Amino acid sequence: MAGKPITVSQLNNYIKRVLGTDPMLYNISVVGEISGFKRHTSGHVYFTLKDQNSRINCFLSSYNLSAVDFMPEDGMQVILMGQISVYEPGGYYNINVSKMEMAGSGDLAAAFQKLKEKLEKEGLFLEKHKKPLPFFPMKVAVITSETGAAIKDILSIIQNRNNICDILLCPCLVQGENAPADIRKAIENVNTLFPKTDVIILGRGGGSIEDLWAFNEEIVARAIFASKIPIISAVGHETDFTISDMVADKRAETPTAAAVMAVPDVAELKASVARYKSIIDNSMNSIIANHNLRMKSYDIHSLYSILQGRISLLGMEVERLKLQSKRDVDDRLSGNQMRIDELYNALDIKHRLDIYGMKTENLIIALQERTEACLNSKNRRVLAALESLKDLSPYAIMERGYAAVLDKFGKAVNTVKMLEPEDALTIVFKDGRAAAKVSSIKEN
Amino acid sequence: MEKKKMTFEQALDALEKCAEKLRDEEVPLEEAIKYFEEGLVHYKNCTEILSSAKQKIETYKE
Repeated sequence: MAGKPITVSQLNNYIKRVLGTDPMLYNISVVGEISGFKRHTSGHVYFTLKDQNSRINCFLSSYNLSAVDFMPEDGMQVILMGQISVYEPGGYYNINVSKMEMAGSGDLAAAFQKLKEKLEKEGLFLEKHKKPLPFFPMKVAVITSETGAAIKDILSIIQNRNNICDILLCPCLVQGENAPADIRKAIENVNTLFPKTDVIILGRGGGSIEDLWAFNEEIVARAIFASKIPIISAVGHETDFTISDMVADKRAETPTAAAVMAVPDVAELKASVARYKSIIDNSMNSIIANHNLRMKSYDIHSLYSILQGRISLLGMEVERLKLQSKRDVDDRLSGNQMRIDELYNALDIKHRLDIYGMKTENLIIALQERTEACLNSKNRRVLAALESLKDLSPYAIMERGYAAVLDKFGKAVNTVKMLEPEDALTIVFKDGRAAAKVSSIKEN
Repeated sequence: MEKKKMTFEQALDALEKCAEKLRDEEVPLEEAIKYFEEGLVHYKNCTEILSSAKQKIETYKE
């Protein structure tokens, strides 16, 4: 028998004192994996740290949590610093954590922090550089591992939502040494070889911080920033934050979420298009119904009589125009008749002229005949006269010894008054001429 | 109406605009008819695009 029994309270109090005064347990450093991570509404955090064989409860106050530069989560390997404390009423002990670091990846965490600060300073995370995602992409490129779960999720989500948008799969390494360069190459290839791509989904499924590390590399960050095509970054789970997420135009919590973000749901779009169509139809119907109603409220009879008045006015006008045009036609017809008459008359004159012409010709013939007859009788008389005249001719006189005297102009001289002394004269005889000169003049 | 082929987004926006205009009870009849006819054209464009179902899946690997 081991002595006198003590109470539970006494026992727990004793254990607390022993553990609380042990210098080893007062300031310990423990490495393990977080599980059962729970954040209380007070802001304090409760979780279990475990290894392959054992586990220990941990408590992290909200004050000490704020000093941790990463978001702890289940599965993380961490190094805790703190002291063992005993909860007397519950009879259990835990680690009261004062500091937490990522185990093994302390260097990574530091590198992450450094790169984040550097790129932030350069402005790579600024909202103004974020390109909007297209509302209705025609081509989506998916840059991820060929074998992971992500590619299947993304494909099935896109195909479920959208059967129009083309999908370009660009398999690449997403973890390991060569992953960053491979990812960069894929982003560049899509930009240069498929520039018509509307949006790129870049990502991978969940994994340890080392698994996701490629997405924290600078060359990947810069390739994302340089992309002309908007990029949705979807790396790991909701709680994984990578540099890629910060540089990308949009961060999706998971690859599945990225697929939802990238393409619209065609069925939903069809529904909203149909909704607009029915709004248009209904609105048009009601507008027409309204107008119908308003039209009916107008006085149809007065409209009718106004129209009647206008119609009869128009009828009168038509009659007037008819008359007028008839008159015009008549005028022109009578004008034409007059010309016809004139022409007809003109034709008559010609006819008459013809008759006159004939008459004239007859007269001329008669005249000619008579003239000829007349001339013939006259001729006979002239011949007789000529015979009798022969004896009276100057030549007959000249036979008897007379001569004619002509002055220098060839004019017959019948008086001495025409002559001057020394005038040249021509004396004409029956058988020739003689030149003479006036030597003297003596009047009788 | 310009006859240039609209993107789906443009056609949907235009359709939405027509629906909004027509919802206004005070819109004059001539305009209403215009919006209605335009809306039908946009509706046709939208449904044509949404019914095209011509998705291609290709893989690019170096």
